[in-house]
Amino acid sequence: MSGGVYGGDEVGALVFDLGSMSFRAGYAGEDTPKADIPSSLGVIEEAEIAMDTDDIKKEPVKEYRIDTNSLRVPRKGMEIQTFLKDGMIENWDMFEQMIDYTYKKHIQSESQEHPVMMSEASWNVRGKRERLTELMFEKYNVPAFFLCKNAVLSAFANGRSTGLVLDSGATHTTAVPVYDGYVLGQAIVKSPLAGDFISLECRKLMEEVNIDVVPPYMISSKEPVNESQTPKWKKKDIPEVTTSFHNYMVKDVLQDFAASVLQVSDVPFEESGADSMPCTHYEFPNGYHRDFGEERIKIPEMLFDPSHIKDVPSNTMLSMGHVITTSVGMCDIDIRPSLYSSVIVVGGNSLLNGFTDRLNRDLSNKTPSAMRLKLLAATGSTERRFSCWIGGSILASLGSFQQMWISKQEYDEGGKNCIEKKCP
Amino acid sequence: MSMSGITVDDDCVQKFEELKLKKKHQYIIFRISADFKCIEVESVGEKGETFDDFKAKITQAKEARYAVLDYSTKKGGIDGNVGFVYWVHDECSVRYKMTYASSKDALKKKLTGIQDEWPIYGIQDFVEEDVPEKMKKKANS
Repeated sequence: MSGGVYGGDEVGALVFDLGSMSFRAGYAGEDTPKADIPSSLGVIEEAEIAMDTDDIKKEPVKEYRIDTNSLRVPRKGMEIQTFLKDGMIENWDMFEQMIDYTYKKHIQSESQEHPVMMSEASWNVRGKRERLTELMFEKYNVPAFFLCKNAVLSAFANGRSTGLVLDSGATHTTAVPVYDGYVLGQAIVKSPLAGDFISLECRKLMEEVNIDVVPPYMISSKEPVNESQTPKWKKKDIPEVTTSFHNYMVKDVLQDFAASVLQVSDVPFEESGADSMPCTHYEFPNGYHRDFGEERIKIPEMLFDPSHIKDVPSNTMLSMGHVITTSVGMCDIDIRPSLYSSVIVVGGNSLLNGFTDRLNRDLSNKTPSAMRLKLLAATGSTERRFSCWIGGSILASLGSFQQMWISKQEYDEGGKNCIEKKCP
Repeated sequence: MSMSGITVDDDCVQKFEELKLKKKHQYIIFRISADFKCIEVESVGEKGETFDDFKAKITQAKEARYAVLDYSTKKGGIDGNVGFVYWVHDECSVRYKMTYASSKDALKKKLTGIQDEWPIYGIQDFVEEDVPEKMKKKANS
């Protein structure tokens, strides 16, 4: 569906949503983002040609590979890196490369033509917000800009101005309380138990059971084999790749494995009951295939009961339910009931089979019986992964939103610190 | 925080003052206009209408609504029992959820003197017994 849903006042605004897994960009008013680009970039450092005789040390020339298609081509010396750290922009060069690329390939229009609404981590710091504002106005010459906390967008998109947003993404799971449209920053709770953690545990499992995970980029051909037999495949002639590239490609296979095989148990997991778990068949890219039984529930169980994690003291990480109760516990006692009555579940990792059912069960056991508990989770994977983008898309397409933007003029007069005033 | 930029029609405030000070209405239902520009009065409830009348009226809306409800006549209570009701179906489209949630504060700010809010997210939650304690406290005294 195209834009212009609200008629009139069409501003052609763009919405950018930064996630640790991917960067989503598109036109406000549309239902889904035009582009969903991996937040990881391929970086090739060109060997320095020793021409200069002066003492000035030159920065090595870097070449970037962006977007799924070019990122996945094996290249000699290409490292996979991300511009985000802890959900905030860390490497500004790479971020600019990403924005340049998005304008050129996906938006295919000039940046000075479109206002930009961007999402940010709810714990983003002032310095980074100001730097981003400066960048958008100075380098990209945007006519107007707005920055909005992603938890607020997710809450609004679920019809709530007060609620607790549980975002289980790639690098971390966070609980963010939102009250009357404001993020209660002092009560944000984070846990590293999220998508990347699951991939890592899957990798450990493969090592334990001696499955060599071969990503598709290495395979030129394969022959069908019987279950659990040594795979027959031929290696492609490829350049020597970096460890980070190989790991990235392996992670990709494991993510697919996790999405198709793993299942969150309805009740706390016990070894004895696991045998009755129905098996699921999975075929790896190199043709190896077998059934997976109790592993299916063992791995995601760690999200809900960290005592199952090996090599880590069990009390150092917060389970999904615990992240929520800890966060709510730090909020004023008067607002706790309204937070529990609107727990909003978003993020790609929450799409694991059975995730919300189990969370609901764990939370009902932990919350006082007088409190009404309600979990809100979009049923479609698109809605859940893009909830924040969709919220921004609707907001920025409203004609009335024009008065909310920081205009170029306001920026010129007030400087970069106007962001704190206009977008608290 | 209101983030949509949607404005509040003057009529909303006027009707609200009539309800609060002159006790002319039992309730007022507000909606966001079809062009998504402002919040306007959809209907007012005559003095003496019951809670069920109010419920029937507001739940006719397919998407979401705001309302103020005068609860003071219940059991012959005293003045000042006016509460804010925020009604949104969990099944309604994301466009309405987004606009109603992000504009709520704009309206609430204009309706001075209202403290208590009663959010209702589905017809099953729409029962009189659930009216927040604060809203009916004075009614029973």
